[in-house]
Amino acid sequence: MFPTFLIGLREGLEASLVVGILVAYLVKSGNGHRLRPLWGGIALAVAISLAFGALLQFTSAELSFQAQEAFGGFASLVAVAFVTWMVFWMRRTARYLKDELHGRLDTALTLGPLALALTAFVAVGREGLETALFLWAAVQSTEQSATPVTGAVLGLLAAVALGYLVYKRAVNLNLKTFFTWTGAGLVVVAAGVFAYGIHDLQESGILPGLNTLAFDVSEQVPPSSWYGTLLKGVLNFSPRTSVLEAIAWVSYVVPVLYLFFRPAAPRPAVAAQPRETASV
Amino acid sequence: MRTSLLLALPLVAGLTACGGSSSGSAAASGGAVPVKAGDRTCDVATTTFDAGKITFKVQNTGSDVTEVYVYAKGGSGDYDKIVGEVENIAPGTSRDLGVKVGGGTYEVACKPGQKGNGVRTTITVTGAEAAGSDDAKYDREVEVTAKDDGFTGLEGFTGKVGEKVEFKLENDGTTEHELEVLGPDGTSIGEVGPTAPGKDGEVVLELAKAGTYTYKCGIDDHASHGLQGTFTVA
Repeated sequence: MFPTFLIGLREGLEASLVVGILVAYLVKSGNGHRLRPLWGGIALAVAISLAFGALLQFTSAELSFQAQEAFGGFASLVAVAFVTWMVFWMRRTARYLKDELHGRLDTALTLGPLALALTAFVAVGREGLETALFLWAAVQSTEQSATPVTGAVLGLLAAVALGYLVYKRAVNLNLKTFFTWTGAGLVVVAAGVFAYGIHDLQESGILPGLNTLAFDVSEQVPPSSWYGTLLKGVLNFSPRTSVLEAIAWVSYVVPVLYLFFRPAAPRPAVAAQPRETASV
Repeated sequence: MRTSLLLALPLVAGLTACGGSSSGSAAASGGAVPVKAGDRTCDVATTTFDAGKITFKVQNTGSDVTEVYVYAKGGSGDYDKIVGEVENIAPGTSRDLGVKVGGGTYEVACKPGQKGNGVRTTITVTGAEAAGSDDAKYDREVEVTAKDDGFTGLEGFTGKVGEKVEFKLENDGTTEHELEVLGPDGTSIGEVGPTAPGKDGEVVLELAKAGTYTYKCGIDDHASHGLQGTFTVA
C-alpha cells in the first residue's frame, strides 16, 4: 500500500499547498467570501480530471503520449503564470493590510472571483489527468486487491491534511512573516512547476534536450522513497534533471524572488502617517 | 479541496463496483499485448509486430511503482527517443500503452522505481513506415543477402523517386545482421531489424527523395567490415 500512498501524496501535495496558502491569504485579508469561487475552481478541476481519466481508462478513447505530455507541459506553464500573478497580487495588496486598513481593499485591487477560481482550477487540474489515470487504474484493480486504491486515496487525503495544516499554521502567523514565507514559498513551488512543464515539453518532443542531464541523483534520492516523494510533491524536484530544466528553474527563481523581495517604490500617501518603503 | 474530495469518494466507491467488471479498454484488449513488468523483469508476450498501432497492456507484477517506455533509435544510435510511455503504474495495477510504429526495432523499457535505464526488451516491427496505411503494398522487391563481409543484391540497384520497395534481407552470415537504409540527408528511413543467421526479414520503404541513399548494418562495427553500400534514387 505504501507505493500507492506515496503517489497519492505526491500528486496531491503541491496543489494542496497552493490552495492552503491561497485560502490562508483570503481569510487573513478578510476575503472569506471569496472562498466559494476557489472551491468551485477546485471541484471543477477534480471533476473534469476524473471524468477525462475515466474516459481514457475505461473506453477505447486514446490520447497519444505526445498529446498528453504536451498538455501537461502547457498546463504547467499556464499554472506558473497564474501562480506568479497571484503572488504579485498578494504583494501589492499586502501593503494595504500592513497599513491596517482592516483588510479593506480598493475595488481596483480586488481579485475577481473568476481569476481566483481559474488559479485554483489550474493549480489542481494541472496534474489532474495524470492523477486521475493512476487512480482509475487502482480502482480497476480492486478485482484483485483493494490495496492500491486504498493507498491512493489515503495518500490524497494525507496531502489534503498537510495542506490544511499549512493553512492553519500560516493563518496564525503575523502578517509580515506570513506574507514573506508563503509568497517566497509559492515562488519556489512555481519554479518547480516551470521546470516540470519544460520537462513535459521535452518528453513530447516539442523541446529538445530530454537526455542532456544537469544531474542524476536517482540512486541517492529514489523517486519512490518518502523523501523523494516529498521533494517531488512540494518542489517538483526531479532526481534526473535535464540542463534545460535546471536553466528554467534558475532563470525563474532568481528574477522572480528578486522582484518579490525588492522594496517597492513608495506609494502616494493616502493617510498622513509616514510609511516604510519596504513592502515586505 | 476537502469538500470536493469528499464528493469524489462516493464516486470512486460507486465506480469500484462496476469498474471491476469492465475489461478495461475493451477495444484495445482485443489485440493488446501483455507486458509483465516485475522487479527485475520486463516480459513482452510478443516481440515481432506489423507496422501500425500496437497496444501493450502493462501489468505491474513487482513491488515498486513502475513506468514503461517504448523507445526508438535516436540520433545517437541509442534507443532514447520516446515513442510512448506510461508512468505511475502502481504494484498490482494495469495500464494500457498505445504506440504507432513504423518498420524497425524498438526497445520496451520497464523501470521499476521509476528511475534508471530500466530492463529492456527489443521488439521488431516489420512493414512500411506508418503513414496511415495498413497495407504493406510495394511496387517491387529486392533481395539482399548479408554475409559477414558484405551485402549482395543491391549492386546496380537504382530506385525511382516515390516508389515503395520491399527490401528482403536474408542472413547468410554467422552472426546477427540488420539492414538499415538512410536517406540522402543521412537520416534513417527504416530497416530490417537484427536478423539471426539463417533467418530473413523484410521492410517496405518508400524512396521519397532523389539522391544517394546509404545502407548498412548498424550492429557493432559491421559496417566497417564491408556491410555497407550506397544506391541512387532518381
